[in-house]
Amino acid sequence: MLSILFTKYAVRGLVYLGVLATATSQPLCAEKPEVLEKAWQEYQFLSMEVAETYFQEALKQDTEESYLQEAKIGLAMVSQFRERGGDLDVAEKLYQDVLEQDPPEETRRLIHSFLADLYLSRGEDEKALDLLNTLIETSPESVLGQDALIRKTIFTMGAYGSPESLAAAAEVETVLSELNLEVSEERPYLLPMIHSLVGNIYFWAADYSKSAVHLDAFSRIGTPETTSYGSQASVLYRLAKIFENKLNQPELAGNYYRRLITGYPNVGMSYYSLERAIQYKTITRSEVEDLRLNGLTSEILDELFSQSEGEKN
Amino acid sequence: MSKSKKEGGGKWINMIGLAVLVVCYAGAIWNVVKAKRQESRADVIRVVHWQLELGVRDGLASLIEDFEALKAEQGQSVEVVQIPIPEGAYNQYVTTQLIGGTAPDMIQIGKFPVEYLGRYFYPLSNKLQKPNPFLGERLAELNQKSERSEVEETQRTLLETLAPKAWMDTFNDGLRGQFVPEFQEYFGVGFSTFTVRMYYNKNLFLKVLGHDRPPASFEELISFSEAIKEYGEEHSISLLPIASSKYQAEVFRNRYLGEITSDLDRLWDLDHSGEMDGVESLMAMLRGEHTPWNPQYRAAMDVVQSLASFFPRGFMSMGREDSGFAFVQGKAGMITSGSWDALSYLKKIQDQPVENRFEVGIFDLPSISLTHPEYGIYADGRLSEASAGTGFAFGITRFTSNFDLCVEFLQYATTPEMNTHVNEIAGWIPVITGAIPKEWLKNFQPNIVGYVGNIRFEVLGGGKVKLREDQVFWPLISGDTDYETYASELWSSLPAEAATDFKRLYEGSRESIPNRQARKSAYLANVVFGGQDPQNRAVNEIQLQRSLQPLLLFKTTQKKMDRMLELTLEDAPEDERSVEFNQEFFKALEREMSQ
Repeated sequence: MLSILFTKYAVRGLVYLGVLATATSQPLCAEKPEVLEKAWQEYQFLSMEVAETYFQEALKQDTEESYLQEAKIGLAMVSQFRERGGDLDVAEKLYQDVLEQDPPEETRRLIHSFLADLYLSRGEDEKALDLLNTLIETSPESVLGQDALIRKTIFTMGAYGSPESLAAAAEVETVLSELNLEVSEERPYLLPMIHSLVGNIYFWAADYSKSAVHLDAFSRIGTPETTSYGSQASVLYRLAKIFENKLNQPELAGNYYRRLITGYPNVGMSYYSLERAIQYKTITRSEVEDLRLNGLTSEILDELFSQSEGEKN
Repeated sequence: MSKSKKEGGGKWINMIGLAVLVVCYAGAIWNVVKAKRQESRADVIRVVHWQLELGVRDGLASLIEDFEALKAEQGQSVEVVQIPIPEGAYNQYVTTQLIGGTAPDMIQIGKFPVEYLGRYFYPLSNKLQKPNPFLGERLAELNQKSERSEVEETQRTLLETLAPKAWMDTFNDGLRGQFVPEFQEYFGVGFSTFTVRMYYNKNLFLKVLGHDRPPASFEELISFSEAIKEYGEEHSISLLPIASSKYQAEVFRNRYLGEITSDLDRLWDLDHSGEMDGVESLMAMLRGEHTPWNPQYRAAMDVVQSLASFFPRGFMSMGREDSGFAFVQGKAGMITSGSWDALSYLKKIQDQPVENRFEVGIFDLPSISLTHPEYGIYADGRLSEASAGTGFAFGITRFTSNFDLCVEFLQYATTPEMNTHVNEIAGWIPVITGAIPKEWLKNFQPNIVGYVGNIRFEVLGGGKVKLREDQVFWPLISGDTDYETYASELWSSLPAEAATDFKRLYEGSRESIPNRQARKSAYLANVVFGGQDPQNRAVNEIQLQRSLQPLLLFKTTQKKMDRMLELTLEDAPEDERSVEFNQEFFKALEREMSQ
């Protein structure tokens, strides 16, 4: 009985799909037109005139509606972001055209994100902030919402060290505390950038404990691949200095020096960090030897470890 | 008569002009036809670089030959054309080709504005984060062999570690040197690394000093130099202790300024980024700490002055080649230069008549020890070469129609065997893990031990403060002025120059924002339009994050500069010299900002 029912519904489903496929003149999930790919590539090189030509060509293609909307958004972006000869009114009109076509939700948010920038360029700050707030509220779990959060923070924070900057940082912390997101090293979203921004706000306001919390988060969520080798090394050094000079917690400083020398031996401050890690006894001689650092002879190691012992005694 | 003669002469000149035009036109057509014929016969990739040093072109030519042979075996006709351009004309050549849209497929990175990378070069980060396929192929090949030689077994062991790694992680420095912070991207793949050492004439040392060992300390560097100088004077022969030009003097200045002041660089690094930048340097001036009368700075200048007394007279007007020439001719005891000159020096010495040839020794510039009677109290240690990085790097231009082939060429060039091979011929230091440098190059291997940074007078890279310091530095080093004149002339002009540099940095940070914003908008769109596959989406999000990093930096630079000024003023010194300096600086800054 069940198998008969299943067959009946399966056949009906196939018929509906067939009708749907015939009714739409386009194949489902057609490949993105090559010209549209080319347009984006030129746009990334900031070759705006060529990108514009390709986007216009893409608009003439017989393809899915979503690709036509993408091309129109691309054209609007050219008008908005080109270095010379841009036209914000044209850009706005094109964005509005797409919005009227009822695009997918994420496309709508992308347009709102660009419109926020556009309004800021025109000095229409209230309108821009409204859009940024909506993006933060409706999609904090996506990079669109997180990007909006970063932009809003920079726009509202005022000077480093000001009360406004601390209020902006606190607002970001509220958003972060309510996030329901599975963040990993492979998919960090924009969280390393958010933590870096807030860490800096607290650093320049001399709230070093809070600064360290966020800089540490940057170093744990971010990796050399997702942020960069240099910025990771630099943040570890900064954390070590904060704990060493500002918070007077040399043990913790030693741990960061250790992380720096073991993870990032190819930066200028590597050897200095090695010395400090040895001084704070957060790295052993055999661990250093395993690093096989060029130029680090056993005589130098003898000296470094004996100095460290001397300080202990 | 004279009129017709003149007319005749005019006609001839016209004819000659026309002939030159025709020849040039024919030449141009021939070049185009040749290139087209080349392209129709094979997949052609063109590689341009400025390394005209001995051996480098041969090293590349050999690499190219092997690559072409490999592709031919695979049934693909490939031609790689090497285009060496003199260093002086390189920037102009590359700029013209890039702007004209006719650039070669691969270009050696350097000597052009960093902004070109974002506009004309493909980012390579994604490729570099995947393994180099040539390593896996070679490993599979070795694994299939039933019997392996000792060399093959060693190679197999090495490849077992390297093959699964990301391509970038097969470089000794993880290719960090090619990371471009302004774009948070990698654009270049490099073949070699470089360090600076001292070369010395062993035969001359033996004759003059009675031994041929290098100086073991800074004191010995001075005493050996004195001995060579005296020997030359006693025997009335033209003998230089240290062959030098402005180029070499800069090497000494950089090295010993770092040795004596790198601890101050760390101390004045207000944001704890690991190195003091120009703005932080200015803040130290405003706090009255960074002045030419700072005892550590003064000691470093003394060190350079003491070395300069062993340079040839008029060294400032000499070129780098002139000093190299004096050394290879046996007229100098020592010279400082980079590993890039090693092969050229050795070859030129071999080209001398037999009686003039000599053995060359290489040593690291000796450090100032803690026990040095004058400078020991300031001695910090040698300059670290941990970030020596990977140079001689090539990027792929957006005008190539053979992107994949270019990547393949770079991957092929950076296997341990090929990297050893190319550098063996070029006489340079390889950069791939497991690639072996020539025996005599081992002294050039980058040494991690030491520190970085120094406290030179420079607010904006190559800006007005630097220019002014240069103007007064060279007369000091060449002995034309005394230290007090140097210090007071520099200090009196610094407030105005520093204000100009500060303004340029302040406003310059905003100028970069529109371009970064445009690029970021592309990456944001790419996240939304790049498909819903979670893996792809994560890659696109990471790219967006990378583009955000420099944008955030530029957007907060003014805030950071304002805050640094604010904090510095809270701590402003009250001595007369500093008060006067600060008043003049802020007056000049106000004037600059109102313009």
